Amino acid sequence: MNDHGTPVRHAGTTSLVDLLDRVIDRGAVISGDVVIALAGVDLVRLDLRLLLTAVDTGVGGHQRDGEAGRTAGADSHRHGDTDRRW
Amino acid sequence: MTRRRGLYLYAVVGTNPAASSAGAGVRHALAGDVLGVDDAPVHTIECDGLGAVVSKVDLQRLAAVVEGSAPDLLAGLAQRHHAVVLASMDAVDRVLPLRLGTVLTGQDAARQFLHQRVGELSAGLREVDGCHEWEIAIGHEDTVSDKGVPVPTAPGTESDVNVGTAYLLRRRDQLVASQRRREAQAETVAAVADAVRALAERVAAGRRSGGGVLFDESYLVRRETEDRFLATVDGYGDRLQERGLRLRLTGPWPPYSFVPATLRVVT
Repeated sequence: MNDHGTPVRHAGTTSLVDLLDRVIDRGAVISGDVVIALAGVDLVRLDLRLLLTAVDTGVGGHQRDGEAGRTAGADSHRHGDTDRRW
Repeated sequence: MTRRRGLYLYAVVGTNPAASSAGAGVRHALAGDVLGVDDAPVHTIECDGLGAVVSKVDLQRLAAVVEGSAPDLLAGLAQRHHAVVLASMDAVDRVLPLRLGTVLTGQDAARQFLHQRVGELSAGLREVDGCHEWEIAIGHEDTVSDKGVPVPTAPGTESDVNVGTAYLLRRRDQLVASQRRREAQAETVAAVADAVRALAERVAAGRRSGGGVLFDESYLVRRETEDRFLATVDGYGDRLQERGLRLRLTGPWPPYSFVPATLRVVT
């Protein structure tokens, strides 16, 4: 799918920063007694930017880990580039 | 007594679409070969045509990860969470991803959650059925920014009024050019936005801003529309480049940005 047009985007693997941005800050939230409150989770959310910076510099090299556990369709699950400027 | 174990919840899936036994499908796909947090086997708990994709988790260990703010542990948790969501998407079309760190008290809690919120969850699953999420951010190229516009050198000590006038004219021209460039950039961004929004089922505002980011949105795109969506984005390549803009696309993602708001469970 990269054969047409000027390459304005970069097919690549999951950026850890993009991944954390999604799983920490998005996704459905449940509230109520059925949920066990982990004291640290809210802190994690508050400190997201700080953590992203730490993760980015600390373990940013393991780009392919986001694909771990895939069983099929790897080709149709491309992820964005690894540019960290934003 | 402090609770020691819980059920880590990755996603809610639809298990009873009319045409197939997706419940069996997700059970099969997740059986054995997908490991969750702490390498615990992932399984589904089903109720009212919905499935909760879960694995048992040791609360002390999990708390240590999230409270310790150890970046590599958190990254590992996030990757495992995401991997299970992806595996769920391989098994069924309809998956609602949960936020990182969602832990239920046990199987009864999972069933209670599914049962109480069956309406919103079913509607949410229908909305994301057969869709992926993509994100587009557009920003300035490093080489093109207002900071890069050279300010003309000030007139020297010459008293000739023409020198000063020439300086002011040059300066004005530069400001006008700068203004035109910004307008052209805004037009291009708006054109890209209109084109991609037209191909999306839903749009969610992104949170990136500042640092040269002009635009950030996420899109829920049907799989059969993905090729057109990507071709449309690529079609703007030259224009973006001419305008000194850079587009960044990530995806396909599970629909993390297109899930129901907070779901309250009353016990």
